[in-house]
Amino acid sequence: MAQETARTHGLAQWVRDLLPYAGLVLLIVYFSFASDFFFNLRNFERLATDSATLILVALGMTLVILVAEIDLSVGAVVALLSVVVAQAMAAGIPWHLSVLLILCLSVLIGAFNGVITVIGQIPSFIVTLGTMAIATGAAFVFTGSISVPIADDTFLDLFYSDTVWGIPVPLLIVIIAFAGSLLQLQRTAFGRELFAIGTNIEAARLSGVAVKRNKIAVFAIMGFLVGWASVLSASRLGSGAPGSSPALTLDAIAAVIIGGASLFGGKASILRALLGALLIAVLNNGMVLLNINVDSQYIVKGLIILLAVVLERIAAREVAR
Amino acid sequence: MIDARKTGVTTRLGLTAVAVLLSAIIASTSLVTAQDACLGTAEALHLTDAQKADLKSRNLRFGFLTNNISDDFSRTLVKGGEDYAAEVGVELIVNSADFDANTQLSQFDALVQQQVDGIFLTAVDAGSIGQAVRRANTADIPVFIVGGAPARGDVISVMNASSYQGSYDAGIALMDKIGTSNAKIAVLGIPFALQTIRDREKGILDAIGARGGQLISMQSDFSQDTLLQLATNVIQANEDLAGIFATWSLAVNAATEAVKQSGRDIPIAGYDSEAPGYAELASGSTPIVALSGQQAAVQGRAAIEGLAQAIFGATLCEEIITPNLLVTADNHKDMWPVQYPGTPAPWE
Repeated sequence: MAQETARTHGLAQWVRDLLPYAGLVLLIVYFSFASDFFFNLRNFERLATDSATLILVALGMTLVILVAEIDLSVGAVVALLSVVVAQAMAAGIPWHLSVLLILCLSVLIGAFNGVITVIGQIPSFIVTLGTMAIATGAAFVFTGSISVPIADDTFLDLFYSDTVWGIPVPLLIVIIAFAGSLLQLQRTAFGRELFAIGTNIEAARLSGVAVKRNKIAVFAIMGFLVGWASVLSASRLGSGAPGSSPALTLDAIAAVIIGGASLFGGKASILRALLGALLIAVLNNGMVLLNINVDSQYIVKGLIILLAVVLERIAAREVAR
Repeated sequence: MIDARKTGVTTRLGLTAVAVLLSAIIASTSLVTAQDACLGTAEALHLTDAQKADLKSRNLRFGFLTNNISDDFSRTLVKGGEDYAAEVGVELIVNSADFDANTQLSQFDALVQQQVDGIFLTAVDAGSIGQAVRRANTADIPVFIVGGAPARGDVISVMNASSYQGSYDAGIALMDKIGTSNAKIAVLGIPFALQTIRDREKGILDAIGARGGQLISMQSDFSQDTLLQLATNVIQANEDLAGIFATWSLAVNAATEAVKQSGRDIPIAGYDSEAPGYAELASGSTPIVALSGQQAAVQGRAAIEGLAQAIFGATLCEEIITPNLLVTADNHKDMWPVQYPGTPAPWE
């Protein structure tokens, strides 16, 4: 009897671990057969480049959700910062200084979210909702609702089409961000403290974990990744566009949830969040290649997210038995 | 005494000079004609029967991307394109971006990936589609755009409704209806990154200025609910509000509802004449004075014809303007079939 329970437990854990991989593979196989244009190197290159923004934001969101917080402002901040970087270059600031400027700004915005949430003891849901509104409005006010074209070819090529060692630069940035996040979460005391905060904040505090400092740091890291996401977005669009990323926030949260994270904190995985983001990116890419109407795409995406979450929860319940 | 030889030389020299002058005039005229030979109107894009037959034999596929599909304009544009594409045997791949520039970029790239024969789009944000247009240029895919030229890349032409003029004309109709100088006007719009929206705003501002009016409030949103709240608040806050101008369809609907709810007599004019606006004008008791309507069906057909003409080697002018219709209570029955051919009128 005990042996059978252990076997069921092991099987459920195995299914749970396998879900995001299986989902991704199934989608790739399906789209490869359904579209003549999906399974080729050119499309995969484009997929990697186009999904870089989502993956970066999903990596940051993983850390935020791990400590039982949320950031609803990311899409709006990406749009605002893409406008700022475009305007900085239009004002004659060299591209590298412009990038540096918005990276600093993005960390400040992230830290601001963290400080207000932690020091003000206001739910991050509310704080980042406010930041989202401010960032959206600011992007439209700064631009007069007209996107700001970027004329600097070096910037546009570097962060969109250039390669280093044969790897597209956006993909390289994603690889570095992924490796950094993975190491940070699995190999450092900071990472362990984040799990502790998310699992039981009181216990973490009593154990001497600097809860406030760590949470602010998480929001600042999120900001840093959002900064890079806005650089890639501006380069992809060739302009700083207000209101350019309305779907980004929900896609990033969905990616993390598909990756098995708990919105109540304490459970999240960088690798699985990456798989979740790739799953959404493949889904978006495949549906567009099949010329599925955008309204129907919402339904399909919603159903797949629900299915993934339900399957994950069933498997989790089996594991917990 | 006259030297006959000298006279002959002079005559020959004179004739040569005249010939050179004439040649220069003809050459420069030809040059001007060549420059003017571009196709610059929707009518000029019409295909001949021979071209239609040729098109049918080619089995072409065009991409047709819209920034949204939730308003009458976009639906009519798509229908105009689909109907004409079916007539000339072109396969049309239609998709809408739901106001998301990133989504539109992905859709555009997917069309390039599918190696379609041409792409027509109403851009979410013309400034943000340039990178993708460059990729279409590299793949030799002609791109025809509505609303404004992209910041990068080459398009065969930009098709525009008369955004400024249409807005100005409707604005003048509003100001003339009010009839008093220094009339206080509120504008209800959309926070959308497109030149056409800026042109509409400029049109109404100039119309207000031309009749000595005064802009007292300018509000905007994407949703009709919020626009209704904004319009209601503006009406409530301004006892002396003389008129409202709405720069797009949902704003027209919201302003109309807000004025009706207020019970006040505030005339409205707007840009976009869609079914609800027509129904209002047909009702006989509406605050709407005039609506400027884009000819979406004409633009939809012109989209297919423009791409086909480019494939046949014709040159399209940099900009193709399709004139707007000024729809009023007096002429709405005549305007409906022009603007929405084949669609039952809302009062039928």
